[in-house]
Amino acid sequence: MTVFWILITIAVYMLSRKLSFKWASPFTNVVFLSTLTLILLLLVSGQTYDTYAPAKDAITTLLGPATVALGLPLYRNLPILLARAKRALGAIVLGTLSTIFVAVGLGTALKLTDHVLLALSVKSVTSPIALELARQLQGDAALAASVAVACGILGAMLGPVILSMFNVTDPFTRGLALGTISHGIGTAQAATEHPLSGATGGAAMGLTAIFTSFLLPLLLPILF
Amino acid sequence: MQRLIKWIIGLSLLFGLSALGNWIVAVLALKVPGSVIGMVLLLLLLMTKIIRVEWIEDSAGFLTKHLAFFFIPIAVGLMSYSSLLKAEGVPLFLALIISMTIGLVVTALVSGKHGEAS
Repeated sequence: MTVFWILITIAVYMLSRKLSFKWASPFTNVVFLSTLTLILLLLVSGQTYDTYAPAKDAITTLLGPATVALGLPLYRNLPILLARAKRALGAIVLGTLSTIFVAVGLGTALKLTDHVLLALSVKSVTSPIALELARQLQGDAALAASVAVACGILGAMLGPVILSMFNVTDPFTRGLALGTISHGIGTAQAATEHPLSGATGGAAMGLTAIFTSFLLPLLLPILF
Repeated sequence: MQRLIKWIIGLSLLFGLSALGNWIVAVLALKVPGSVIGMVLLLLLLMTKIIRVEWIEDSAGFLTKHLAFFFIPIAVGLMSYSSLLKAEGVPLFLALIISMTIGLVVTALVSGKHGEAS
């Protein structure tokens, strides 16, 4: 059964990828389309997420090596990254702070429950870290990972459109912004735009994770 | 044949560095994911020419090209939260979209919209 769902996932991914090339639009984003299709397939066949979980575990063991692999584009673009390191770091720090404060502030105003608010505060880090951070801060770890994934998908779908709306043309900055706000899923999207965007996205995603991990425990008393 | 050997070497290195990263995080009790440490280690090993680009370019290139694939199963997990999404989905969606837009714009403005600093 596990192998079956792995093969289904690969097939759905390949098909979604083809569609995303043919009709480029936020709604043909690969992760969005594949996720939607898989959830529908599970629901139609009367299955719950538990059926799919073993396939998830198998596939996500490759997430580690795949993240490590981002070190290669990082190496290839190192001179450009170092030349703009100061502003890039400032951008990552201010981008992370602004998105956390707006998310939690707005969430509070909209009367979201406390465990959703905590999940929102870790939304911009990649889901394995969101999970770990939420656990350390006594929140709902699985919920935090899911909100982080939702944030990643929304960022990959709408991020490029938003950046273009604000006339952001620089591939360096586009990757940096997508990696900062939408971690790995945003970085994957950035990498399809430009190799430099993939590299800055990978760097931003790593730095955001480190920065958020250290900062959030200090910020919590202010946020809540 | 040579391609196959490169793939084996490349994947072993990437898996090994990921495991090493996890180990370092566990031993030093860091709050950073092991794979991010692994990414930094790979960068350092490439900079010091201990690992050559040719060894890993096929496998690393393939994995980064299909990075999105590895997130799909985690995203499918969203289906377990249908009741929460019914209750708080709309305000959650609003908070996500607005905070994302502001975060993206702030990051882009500081970094430079057109690469004028490069």
